[in-house]
Parts: sequence; C-alpha cells; structure tokens
Amino acid sequence: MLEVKNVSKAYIDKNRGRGMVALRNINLTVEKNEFVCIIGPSGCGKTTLLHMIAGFEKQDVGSILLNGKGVTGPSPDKGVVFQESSLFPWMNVLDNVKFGLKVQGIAADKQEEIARKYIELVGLRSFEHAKPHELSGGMKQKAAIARTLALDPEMLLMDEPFASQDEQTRQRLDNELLNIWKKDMKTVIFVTHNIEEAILLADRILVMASRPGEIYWEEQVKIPRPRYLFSEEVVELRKKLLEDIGCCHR
Amino acid sequence: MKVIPLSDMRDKKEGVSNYEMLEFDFKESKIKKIANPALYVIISMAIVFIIWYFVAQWGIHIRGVPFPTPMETLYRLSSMLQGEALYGRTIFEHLYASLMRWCVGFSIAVISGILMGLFLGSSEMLQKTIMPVIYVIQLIPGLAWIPIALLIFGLGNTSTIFMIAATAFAPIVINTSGGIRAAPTVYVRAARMMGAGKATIFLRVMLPSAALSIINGLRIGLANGWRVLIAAEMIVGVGLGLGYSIIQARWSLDFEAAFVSILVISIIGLLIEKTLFSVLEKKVAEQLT
Repeated sequence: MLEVKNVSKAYIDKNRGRGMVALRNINLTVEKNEFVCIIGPSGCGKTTLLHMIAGFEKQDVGSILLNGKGVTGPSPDKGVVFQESSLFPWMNVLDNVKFGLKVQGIAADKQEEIARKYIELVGLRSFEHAKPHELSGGMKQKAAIARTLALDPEMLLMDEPFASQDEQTRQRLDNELLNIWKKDMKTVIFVTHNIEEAILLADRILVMASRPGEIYWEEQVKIPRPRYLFSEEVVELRKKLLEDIGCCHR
Repeated sequence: MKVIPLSDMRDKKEGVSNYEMLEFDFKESKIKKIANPALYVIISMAIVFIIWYFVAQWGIHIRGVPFPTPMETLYRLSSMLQGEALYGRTIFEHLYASLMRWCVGFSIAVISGILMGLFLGSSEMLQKTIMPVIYVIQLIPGLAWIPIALLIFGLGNTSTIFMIAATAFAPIVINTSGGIRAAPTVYVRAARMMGAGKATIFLRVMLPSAALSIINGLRIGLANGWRVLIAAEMIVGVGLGLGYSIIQARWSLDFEAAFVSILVISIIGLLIEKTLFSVLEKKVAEQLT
C-alpha cells in the first residue's frame, strides 16, 4: 500500500530569484493491485508527483510511505516506465531486460529465463535480439515495460508512457497493458493527460489542477472491463469529467 | 521474391507493372558500389591538382621561382619511394620516425586524457574547478609549447613527443568529460530504478553513452598531434622525420622534396581519418542511435 501524506513541493529558480509551488498538500492512498490514473493539464505537477513516489525527487514537506516505510530513493520495488524511450540504445532488447536482473545479482541462467518470460509477455519474442533503434516507438515502450516488470516491482509507475504514440497505437498499447496487468497483477499509478485513456484503464481516477498542483477530484470507475470507448457509461463519465468537473479547465 | 535490376525498376515502360509489387529486392552492380565513392575522391583530387598546377605556373612564369608542379612532385615521390635518399635517409625512414613519435605521443594523450576526462566527468565539483585549466591548455597554440618542451626535456625526441601529447590531451579530456556529463538523465534514472549503484551507472551507462563524444575528442586530438608533430620536428632538433625533411629542404632550396613531404603527410593523415576513425565512428554510431 502506498500512502502520500500532506506532500508539498516548490521549485526555486535561482537565476530569477523566484520560487513556484508545484504541488500543494497532496494526500493519496493506493491499495495493492489497484490501477490508479492521475490526469491533469500539462504543468500541473503530475509527473513531479510520480517522480517523488519513484524516489527521483524529494518532497519539501510531508511523507511518502510504501508499506509503511518512507521512500528514500529509487529502487527496483518501484518500477518506472518513462515517457521517453529509456532503453539503453547500445544493448539489444534481451540485454536491456537482463540489466536490472544482473544488477540484482541473479544467477545468469535465471536472468535469461526471467527476461524471456517478460519479453514473451509483452509480445516481443521475435525481437529480443533487436536494438532499440530497430523497434517502433510502441515496441520500445513495450520493451521498457518488460524490463520494468522483470524486476518484479511492488508498484508500476507509468509517466504518460504512450503519449508520443499515434492514436491507433496508443489504444492498442492500452489494451495490451490491461492484459498484462490481468496476468501479472501489480499496483499501477498511470499518469496521463488523456481522459479517455484514464477511463478505459483505471479503477480510480484522480484529477489534478495546476498552479498550485492539487488533487481536486477523485472518481471511482465502476464500469466493468473490457470497456468500450462509445459505451453509454464511458461516454457519460467522459462528459461528467469534462463538463461537470471541468478537468483541463482549472 | 522477384529480383530485378534497379535500372528496370526506374524504366518507365517496365516500371508500371513492377510498381504493382509491395516490396522488391534490387541488385546494384558491385562495380558501381565501389566506383561511385572512388569517383568523388578522384574528382576532388583532380581539382586540387589543377589549382596546384596553375599556382605553380603562376609562380614559375610571373614570379620566376622554382615552384614544383604536381607532375614534378609525383615524379620525385616515385623516385623517393624507389629508394632515393633524402638527407641521408629514405623517405620510409623519415615517415617511420614521424609515425613512431606521433604514436607514442598520441597514446600518452589518449590514456591520460580519457582517464582525466572520466575523473572530471565523475563530479560536478571537479568539473567546475579543473575544467577551466583544461580550456586554457586547449587555447595554447601547438608551437607555444616549444619553450616549455625545451626547458623540461631539452632538444630531441622527448620534446616532440611531449608536444604531441600536450596538444592532443585537452580535446580528449574535454570531450570525454563532456560526454559523461551529457549522459541522458532518463538512462541514469532507469539504471537507478533498476538498483544500479554509482560505479555500475558510471561504467555501464554513462561511459557507453559518451562513446561518440570520446571518439570525437580522439579525432581532434589526433589532428592536433599530427600538425604539431610536423612543426615540432622542424624546430626541436631531431635529425629524422617528415617535418625535419621539410625544413631541411627549405634551407637547401630543394622545394620539390618539401612538397613530397607535405604530400606524404596529407596522404597519411587522410588514410588515418578515413580508415580508422570513420569506421570506428560508424560502428559506435550504430550502437547508439
């Protein structure tokens, strides 16, 4: 279980002598195996929040607890999938996936076995010897997901992982992600600016506003999966989030 | 799959039916593959020789000086390649002496430069305090090292080697540490997320992502070293080498011999650049893009 308690953060621009509050008073609890989406306009601090949970940045005030223990830095139990391609370009897919396992000191034959299992899971078996530059954008992100899942993290933190894909590819990747999540149950925190994507994926949607970054709405999504973009419930929820709650307008 | 010659593909009459395929293989003749790049080299060489020819004619007829023409120079080169002595030694001995000095000096620069670059790249504090010194070193013109070399090592071989190492050192340091510092944050974060420690991140993430920049540094260092080698040989009293030949030729007014030396220097420089570095850079770029 992840608990974010009263977290605030400000950025200081030393050159201009000005500070800006990026996040104010964030409170958030994520249960085990829950799929949470955080949506909000760009610049609302959603990526900052995710990076603090991942341990890349430190909050100024408040605490972030994973299973009761404070987050002090990045670690393999908090798996991150980045917005841009983070695969090491000088390694093929298999070596990329094995990197973390090697660092963990797992035996060589076991590394191979685990890496293959997750490459298979994301459907890249015939590309395990391909270099990242030989893969399409969507395949790169799938390889990155395999690399993160191979660490067997407690949580999967995803920072707009499919934002740079075209619409068709993004939808396909979302569905594949849901299938992977069903097979390999994890707690997922998924940051996006796409309301449709959030509705199709999430158990719960957190809506953020910017300046200062705050969570101002929480929506439990009770629609059974698989969800269809034009089903009545989805359209209704979309309308509610867009018009009544006015996310993207605050 | 049907294999058709590329010329048929582009042939308008045949093309109509061929373009109905989704994918196709084509074959290009091997002769063309090699001949095309070679043709460009030949053309560029020809341009150089033509300009050289006219400058030589101008020198001979207008200024009345014995300016060596391309043909005379090539003729002299061939007779030297056949063993004609130049100041008591063959051209091969001069070339070998220069290459050896350059190899030793450049190797010293490569090892010390890369180590220094890695050291400076490992911390922002070191970078900020020591890098300005390296930039100053880089600004010192090659020949300005002569008094320093003479004071420390005296006349002779060691001074030349020192000068080569000194001029090649700075660009290697700058590019190595710059490459390390410029390693994309997302790679470093991904590695930290996977549990990698500082040493692993440095050696297995930052170093490989700096490879292209390091090669660039070596390239600049190599050219710097090669230029200063020739200049150093002219001055710091070595009795052998291409630079020595040029300066001797100048004193004895044997301008042809000087031109032969310059030609050999250019050819060797071109060979090193085109073979060693282009291949190395291409290989690394393939790994990194």
